Amino acid sequence: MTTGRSWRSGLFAALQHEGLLLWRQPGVLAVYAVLALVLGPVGLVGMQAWVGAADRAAGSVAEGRVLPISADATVSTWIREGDGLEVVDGPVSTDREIEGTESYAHARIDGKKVILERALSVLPAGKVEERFQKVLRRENADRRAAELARVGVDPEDFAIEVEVVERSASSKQGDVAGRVLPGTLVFLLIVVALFSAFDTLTKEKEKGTAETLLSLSLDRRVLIGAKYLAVVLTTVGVGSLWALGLFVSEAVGLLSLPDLFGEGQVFTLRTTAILLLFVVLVGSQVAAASIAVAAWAPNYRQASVASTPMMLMLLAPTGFASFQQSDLTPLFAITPMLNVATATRLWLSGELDVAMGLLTLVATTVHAGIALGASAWWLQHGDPLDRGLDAESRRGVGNFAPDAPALFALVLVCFWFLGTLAQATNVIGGIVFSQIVLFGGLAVAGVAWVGAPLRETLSLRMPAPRDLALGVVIGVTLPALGSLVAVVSSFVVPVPKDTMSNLASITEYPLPLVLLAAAVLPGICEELLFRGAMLGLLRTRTGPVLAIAVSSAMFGLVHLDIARIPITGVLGLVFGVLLVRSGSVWVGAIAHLLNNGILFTIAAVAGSAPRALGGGAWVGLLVGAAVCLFAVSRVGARRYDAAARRSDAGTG
Amino acid sequence: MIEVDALVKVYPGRPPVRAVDGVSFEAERGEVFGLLGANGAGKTTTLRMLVTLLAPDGGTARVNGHDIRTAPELVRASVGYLSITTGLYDRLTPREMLVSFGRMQGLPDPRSRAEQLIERFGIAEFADQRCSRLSTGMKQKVSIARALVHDPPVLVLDEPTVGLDVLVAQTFLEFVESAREEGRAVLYSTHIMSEVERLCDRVAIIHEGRIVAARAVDDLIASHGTVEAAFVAIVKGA
Repeated sequence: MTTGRSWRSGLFAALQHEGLLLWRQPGVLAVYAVLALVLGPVGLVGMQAWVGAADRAAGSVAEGRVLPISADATVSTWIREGDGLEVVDGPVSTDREIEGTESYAHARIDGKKVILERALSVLPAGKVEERFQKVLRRENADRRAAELARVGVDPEDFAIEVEVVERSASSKQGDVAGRVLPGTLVFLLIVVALFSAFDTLTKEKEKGTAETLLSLSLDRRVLIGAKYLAVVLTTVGVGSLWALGLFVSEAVGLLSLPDLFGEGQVFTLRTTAILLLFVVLVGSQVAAASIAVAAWAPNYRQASVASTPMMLMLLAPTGFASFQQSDLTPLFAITPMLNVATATRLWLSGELDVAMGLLTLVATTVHAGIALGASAWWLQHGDPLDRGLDAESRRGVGNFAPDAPALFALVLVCFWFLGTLAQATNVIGGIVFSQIVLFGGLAVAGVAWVGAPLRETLSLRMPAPRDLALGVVIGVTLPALGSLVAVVSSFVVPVPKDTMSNLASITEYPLPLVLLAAAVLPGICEELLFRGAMLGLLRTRTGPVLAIAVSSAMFGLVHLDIARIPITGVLGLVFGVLLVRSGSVWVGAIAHLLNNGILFTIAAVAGSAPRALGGGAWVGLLVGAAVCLFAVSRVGARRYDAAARRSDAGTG
Repeated sequence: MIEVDALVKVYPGRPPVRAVDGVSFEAERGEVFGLLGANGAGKTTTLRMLVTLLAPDGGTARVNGHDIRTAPELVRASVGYLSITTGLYDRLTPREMLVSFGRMQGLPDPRSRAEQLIERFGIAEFADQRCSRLSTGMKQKVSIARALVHDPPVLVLDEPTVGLDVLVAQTFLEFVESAREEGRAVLYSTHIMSEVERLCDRVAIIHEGRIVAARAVDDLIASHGTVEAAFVAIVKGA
């Protein structure tokens, strides 16, 4: 189909139009520029403080991670290289040296490389050896003895030699930079891409200008192409400003990074070029995804609802790549976002495999092409304005407020830097700070700031006594449900059997203090934030099912640990149902408090979470989970009965 | 100029809504053709299909000889469309709007065309103020100029006088009359009877997605006294 003029002149004209619209928003452009210039250095300072504090606190930490072990395994199969610690034949050795880095360590056991997982908690230096042994003993002793007895060898002849090999300084620092910098950058790029896509597409629908724009003789593909290019150029421009800002500020001495990175300039031309490539790759991906959402969403309200899960979907792989010890396997290399984030981290630390890098590049191009092709198809064939242009329904749409995603992004970034930093400095103090200031404080401040009514949004009203009682029943049985989820999800994601391993070190503190920090405060503050604020705000824009699902995903994601996402996600669903059904945040709070309290009390008493499950434990788990789900359904039924009674009274 | 042939649009739902259900009519060059109907009768949906903003679920239409299904770009190149909202960018000035839209319509010299329209519609005084600061009347002038920027042979106007005060509405009606003088085909949707009496040569009354009557306005007045009486009688009869 042709209009008798080249698509190039049409595209150029449409691009000029987009450019003019963008240029006429000096305020927004200024905000982008400030964000771009501030986020980089702030991220670096946060990283510097994080690493510095961890170094000061301990200098080393190590923690073992062991896969679930099946009962009929043999020595050769039940320990897998790279996944856990290994039993090796050899003489008893008592003099071994363990050195860790602040974030994670590689260990060598009998010459084989074993990855010791990064730990959030930091142990005093003298405890490292002890901790290491504890991990080894706890996970392996019984089975090793049994296995050795089976093959008829005296256990006294065996020992484990552990050698932790510290990485070179520059590799380590590049690695740390590669973990933190892409995270902040991706956050920046997503925010900019989403905002400019919504502004250039969804807002036009809402304001009615899309109607006049689409009635122009331009081909729709040209129009959407121009909008896509405008979003890409904005996003890449902001990202480049971010990278160049870091480069320049270090080059002219505004940022001094020897403490963090050792000798020499960190943001060399090479690093900056890598980051710029990252910006272009991620920018064109998130821009395509944002355009697709903006094209689909009939109005800002819908776009705002869709933006939250989208932001989570894009941020989660990046977070995973930044925080987990992941290598660039072929599967990772073709996974959107995960591939780019992992590749960048490995490239920055000089460990990127060339073939995998190329695969990443190809996969990224393909992804962007698919996303863009899909949105072009949708705009060409899918009646994009159908729902959006229905005048009557458009009149009913209120002002856009990206409250829930914005608040979540704020919490995530603050927790990412401040929370982990504080916990690295002092575990209990860090948790108390994170809970009260970052979770509870931001929940109340965020809701107040967007102007929503506090009491109603946060569901602060007192629950009915029966709901509260059911909350207690659920809280007592919830650890069973959580453990069941942990067992099930361990088939998909390797889950440490001790699901609280990251926090295990706090059991060294007095129990009342632990219960305050890890049970009472999370019960109140996390519920206020994720059920009160997030679920409360989301519910004003969408139905309860989607709101519960999204707020649970947020709750899972904020724990910054992929292994715990299934468990915390399911707990989030339970708490979400409790809030929606009981109308009070306190029912979930009491259940949350009891759940955490029981788990930490067990950990303190037993010295660790329960180990392999016997038959009795399985029965207990299933019964507990069933009681828990039944109690949840009772809260729902009660609410339903009450509603039915009210409507009966109304009609009768 | 405009030939509409059994257009159908069904919105999904339970049950599906047949918003436009087999609408057919024709409008000639130099004619103002009215599409008269209550709110929700299907006027806007019909017009949106005509300017190819919506894909029809059945039937088709030809505008200036181009089929809306097979040559949507050529249809849009022939139509000046004024939607129910003014459709102006708050951030841009009238002059920028006209230049930018002229450029996107592929005009060789969008600037001189913009100046021409600015002069014709008396926009000069506020041509460099942002559209967000303009009064409703000023906005309407800019919208008209915007719709005419590529000098289209067909004008599609969707309830263009809604929200205008009497004086501005008068100016607008004069503009529609001048468009007829210039030989354009004007499709004019409204629910205001007096405008039909004053402007339209022929009118189609649309009710629940169907054309229930398509007559010369003079005939309607002759048979029922006023267009309003005719409208009420025909719609109640339908």
